[in-house]
Parts: sequence; structure tokens; C-alpha cells
Amino acid sequence: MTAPAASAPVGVQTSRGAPPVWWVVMKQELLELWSGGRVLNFLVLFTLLMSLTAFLLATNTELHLLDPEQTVVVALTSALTFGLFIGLAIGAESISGERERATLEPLLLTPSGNRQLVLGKFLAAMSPWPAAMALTLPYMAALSQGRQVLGEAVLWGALSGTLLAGAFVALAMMVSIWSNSSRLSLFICLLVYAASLIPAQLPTEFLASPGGVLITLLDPVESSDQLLSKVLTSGEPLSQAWPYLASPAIALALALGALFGYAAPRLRLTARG
Amino acid sequence: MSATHDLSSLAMGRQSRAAPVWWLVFRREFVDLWTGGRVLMLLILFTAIMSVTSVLRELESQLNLIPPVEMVFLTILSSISFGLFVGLVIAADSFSGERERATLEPLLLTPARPRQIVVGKFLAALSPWPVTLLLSVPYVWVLGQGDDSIGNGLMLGALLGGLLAIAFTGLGMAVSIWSTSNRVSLFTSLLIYLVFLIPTQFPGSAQKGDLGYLVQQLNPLQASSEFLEKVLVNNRTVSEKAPYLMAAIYAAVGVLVLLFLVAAPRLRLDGEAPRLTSPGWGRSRSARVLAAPVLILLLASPQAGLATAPAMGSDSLQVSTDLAYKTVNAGDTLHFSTVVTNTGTRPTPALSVAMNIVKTGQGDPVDPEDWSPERTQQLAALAPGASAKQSWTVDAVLEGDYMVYLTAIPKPSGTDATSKPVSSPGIHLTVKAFTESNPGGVLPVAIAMPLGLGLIALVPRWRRRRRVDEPAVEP
Repeated sequence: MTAPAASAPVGVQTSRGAPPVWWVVMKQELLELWSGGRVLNFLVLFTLLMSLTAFLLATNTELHLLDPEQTVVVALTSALTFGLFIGLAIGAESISGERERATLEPLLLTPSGNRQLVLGKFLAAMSPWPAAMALTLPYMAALSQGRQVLGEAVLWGALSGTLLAGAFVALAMMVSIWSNSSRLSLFICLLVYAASLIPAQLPTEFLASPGGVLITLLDPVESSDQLLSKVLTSGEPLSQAWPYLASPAIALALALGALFGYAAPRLRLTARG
Repeated sequence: MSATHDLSSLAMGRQSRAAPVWWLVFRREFVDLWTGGRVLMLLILFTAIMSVTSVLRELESQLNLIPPVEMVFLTILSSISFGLFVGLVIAADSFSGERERATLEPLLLTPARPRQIVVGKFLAALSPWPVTLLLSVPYVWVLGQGDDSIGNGLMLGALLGGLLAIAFTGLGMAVSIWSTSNRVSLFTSLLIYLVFLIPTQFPGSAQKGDLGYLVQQLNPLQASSEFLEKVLVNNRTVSEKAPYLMAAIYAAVGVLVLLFLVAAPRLRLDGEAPRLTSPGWGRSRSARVLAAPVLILLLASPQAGLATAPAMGSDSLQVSTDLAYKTVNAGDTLHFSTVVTNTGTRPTPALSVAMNIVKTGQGDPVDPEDWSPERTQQLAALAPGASAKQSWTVDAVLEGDYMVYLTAIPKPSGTDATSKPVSSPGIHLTVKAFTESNPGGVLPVAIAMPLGLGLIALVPRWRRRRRVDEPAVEP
């Protein structure tokens, strides 16, 4: 929200019982993110990566290396991995970017509570995820070759993806609140993102061992991948696979609690203020 | 390089034929990086990550009895992957950071040529790499349990890591030259790093097939991993796996050319991005390499022949096939049958019939699991003169020349006895390259989605440009 003018009416409208502050902040933020082209650029990159992935997966299906169910799951996990990145990058820049552009001060001077500012920005940073998920549908439809897995994949993908997107955006915003520069917040967030991808590098045998299961459950990204694989490919019922759904859900609850309960009220003009 | 007093010494250095400019830039940058604590912080992060992954690997090793040579490979691979990150982060800050701190202008005003400045900064940004390699030696030593492969592994790691460090540091620097802010350069560099890293997340079966292997060879991180594993763990020769090594070499050379011939001479105060119409840009070589196998359609009609040769002789068992040779395209499915006959006078014990597929020339060994859903069938005991027929399916995955054969294995009568397996005649299988340009009908979606969204993304830019071009309205 770089236009300081937008922050002026915030307090006025609230006092008249107009839309709440978080709504105004979100609207302004959405406008800037989407009409400014930033989210669209990210989504173009997203579709490019998805196109390459889908082509590779379709080739492997033709070679009988993967069946359509597995292909849909891999495409879905790729969409989660790429999609998270968008929310993370936007969240990481949300507050530290305002600091760098010297537009945070006018926002903080409005009579709105900091929590409302953060909520508005959080919801706006979450907005690319549904778009990314919607863009994934044509790829999954083409890859599923009419199999029933598509409907379930959309449902589970939307659920686990939303949990992950929420957790990562909240984490990125917390980092942003405590960073004086976008460079620092982006660096930390991308480091966390890269770290969350490490467990996927471990061999399947290890991930099946008790130590591997523990590591998987501690990493919400790997947990979601396992959930999708177990439910959609192996046909495991949710009563067995639920710990892998609980992991991103707990991550989201913790991240939201930390963001709105601890970090947002401490939002200051400088990160060390 | 923030100290401006060095700038005069740069000029002086050139005029008095003292140390060359790149050396002065390198020295100053080197001192800034190492004494400023930035590199040390990144190295602490490096050792922390190495320690965590080492503990995980050790746990994994104890559970699955991973051989020491594989531990050496995995540890060296981790050190390369994380080591690259250090160089990338430093390089991404090199010019955009100077711009942000307003220290680039004095540097550009010196009589030093931009390329010399870039050389100095590039060498300084590369300096953490040998240190990360040294820091990884204790991890390799402990996890490798003094294995003989440690020396070779470290040598190969130094070679591959050096090439990749050059490629990624150079890339980070080129991005930094064209970025107005650290935020953009860091983000772009890390994004590129992640794009190379993400394919390693795909399951193994998604990375096979000719296209999968091509993608592996084009991605320097994956190609280096493959090269290191095959040479170090699977005892392949360097020449045999040279195509995978070439990916790292091409990446290093390509990035150096980009950095010193394209980016460095265009180093400007404002970090303007290059135009897409500039010579050398707009036509991605790798894109063409990727597109080539998709566009080339090699039509091959399957040719089949019936088996005529009888099974290799044995005392009482004979295995025959209904196929002697066949030419197929990658992606085709082949069906054939075998008949196991008891030619003896006594009943056979229970039998297992197993299928094997061997590549007849050089190249990657066949993983039969990828090629056939069912590779072993169990048979009950056969009475004298009795036969049993089995049906088999083979999915042709990779281009090449293969021999498929079946072996009938009589069950040994006890723990202190053995039996004599009998093999069928071979089925000579010739697999031609994958020819499907629109696999699974996904191509229209794969093209239309980014294209359509790209066009939509142009709208905000077009509107902004229109707004700028519109004459200001008088109040």
C-alpha cells in the first residue's frame, strides 16, 4: 500500500461505521498487487513452471512410468510448491517494503489498530493462492485423462494448499514486521522455504521410518505432499492419514497466533523500535 | 566496496603500472566481505545446515545401512548445494548493493573499465567456495568412515562445485548488474536457484524417460548430482557420464560469457535491464534444446517376428517364447508369451519364471521395475510332458537396443540344495525415440495457459504506459 493518501480516509470511514479498516487496507492492497501487475507476473511464471512440469509428467505417463493418478498428485504438489512461493514473496515484502518506501509511517499514524492493518495485508497476500489453484485445474484435467481422481485432487489440494498458503504468508509477514529491509525479509523467507523442501530429498525408506515420519510431520510442506500421495494415490482413508493434515493445520494455527497475537501489536516504524 | 579513498588508488594503480585494477577491486572487496563478517555469518549458516543434514543422514544410514561411499556422495552433494547459495547471495548484492548505498557512481567514475571491476568483484564473491569445501571435509570424513572413496569424492566435488560456483556466482552478479535494488537481484537469483532445485522434488519415476533425462542433463544441479553419483557410487567412468559433466561446464562457460561479454560492458549507474531485442538475447539456447526433441518426429513402424529358436537345452525344462525380435517406439507396450515345458520324465518342483531386460550397448542400466508391472510369475509343479503358458507385458521406456529373456527357476528342495535355472532365447527389442509431441493431449494447455496469462499481464503495463503518454489535464 504505497499510496499514503489511501490511508487517510481509513480512520474517518471507520468512525462513521463505514467499512472496517482491514477491509479498506485489503482493498487498496489488492488493487495494487493485481492492477500493478505484480501478482500477474508471478502467475505467468507459475503457469510457465506448471506447463513444463505438466509436459514432463504427460511424457512419463505415455511411457507408462506414472499412472494418471500419480501424475495428478505430482502436478498438484508442484502447484503447491510454486504457489506457496508467490504468497511468501508478497508477504515478505508487505511491511518491510513499506518501511523502505517510507510509506509505513502514514499507515501507522491512522487511528486503526495495527492488527487491522496486518489483517488487511494478510488477506491481500493470500489472494494469489486461489488464482494459482484455479490455474492448476486445466493442467490437472488434462493430466487426469478423465479419471475420477480429479475431483478429490481439487478438494484435497485446495484444503492443504490453503492451510500451507496461510501458514507461509503469516510467517513471511512476521519476518517482514521484524525486518528493516525487504532484502533481509526475502532472504530469510526464501531460506525457510528452501529448508522446507529439504525433507523431500530424503530417500523414501527413511521417510517411512519413525525418524522420517517425525521430520515429515514437522515440515508442513512435506506433510501435505505425503497427505496427497497417501489419500489420492494409495487410497488411504483420512482416519489413517490425518496426522499429515494436522501438520499444516497446526502450522497455520501457530503462524496466525504468532502473527496476530504477538507480532502485529508490536508493529513499529522501525523493526527494532 | 564502499570506501571511496580506494577509488583514487584504483586510478593511480593503473597509471603507475602497479597492481591491476581488478586486483585492487578484488582485494578491497575481499577484505570487506571477510572482515565485515558477512561471509562468516553465511559460513556459520552453512555449517549449521551441514550439521543438521549430517545428523539426518547418519540416522538414515543406521536405519538403512547406507554404504559409506553413498554417504560420501550425499555429503559432498549437500556441501555443493549449500555452498552455491553463499556465493549466489554475495554476488546478488555486489552491484545492486553498491547502487542502493550510492557507492557505485564513484566506482564508475574511475578510469577503471567496468569489466575489471566485475572481475575483481566476481573473484571476491567466489572466495567463500573453497572455504565451504574445506569446511565440508570433516563431515565427509566422519560420515564416510574413512572410506577409500573420500579422496576421489572430494576431488570430484571440488571440480563440480567449482564449476557450479562459477556459474551461480556469475549469474547472481549478472542479475545484480541489471537490478536497481538488492531486493530484485536477491529475489531473482534465489528464484533461479529454486527453479533449478525444484525438479529434484519430483519422484524418481517422474525424472525418467528420454525427456526426463534430458531435463536432468540441462539442469546443472541435477546433472552434477547424477555425474557424482554414477562415477563415485556406481563406478562409472568419467567419459561414460561426460554428458552430465558437460552441463556444469556449459553452465560455467555460458554464464562467464554472459557476465563478461554482455553484462559487464553494460554496467550502468541505474541498473537498467537489457532490452529483449538486444543481440544475443531473446533466443534462449536452452529453450531450443528443450524444444528440439518435442518438434522432431521420428516415425517408426513396429516390426515383429516370431520366435523360431527352441529354448536352450537343459535336462528337463524348456522355456520358449512367441517372439524373437521387435522394433517399437518408446511409450509402446509390448505383449508376448512364454511356455515352460517339462521335457523330462519326472515332475518338476514348483517354478518361478523371472523376466530380465538388459541393455546390449553402453548406457544407463535398465531398471526392470520401470519397464514391466510384473516381472516374476510362480508356477506349480509340472508333470512330465506338461507345459504352462505365461503372458508378459513390457513398456518400452528408453530409446536403445535391449535383450529381454526369461528364466525358469526350479525351487530348491531344501536349504542345503540348489537348482539349475533355465533361460529362454532372448527377445531382441529395439526401442526408437519417443515421438509423441502432444503427450496426453497436454500441449495445448501447456502453451495456452502461460501465453494467455502473459497477454493479460501486459494489460497493466499497457495502461500505465498510456497514462504516462496522456497529456496532463489542466485543473
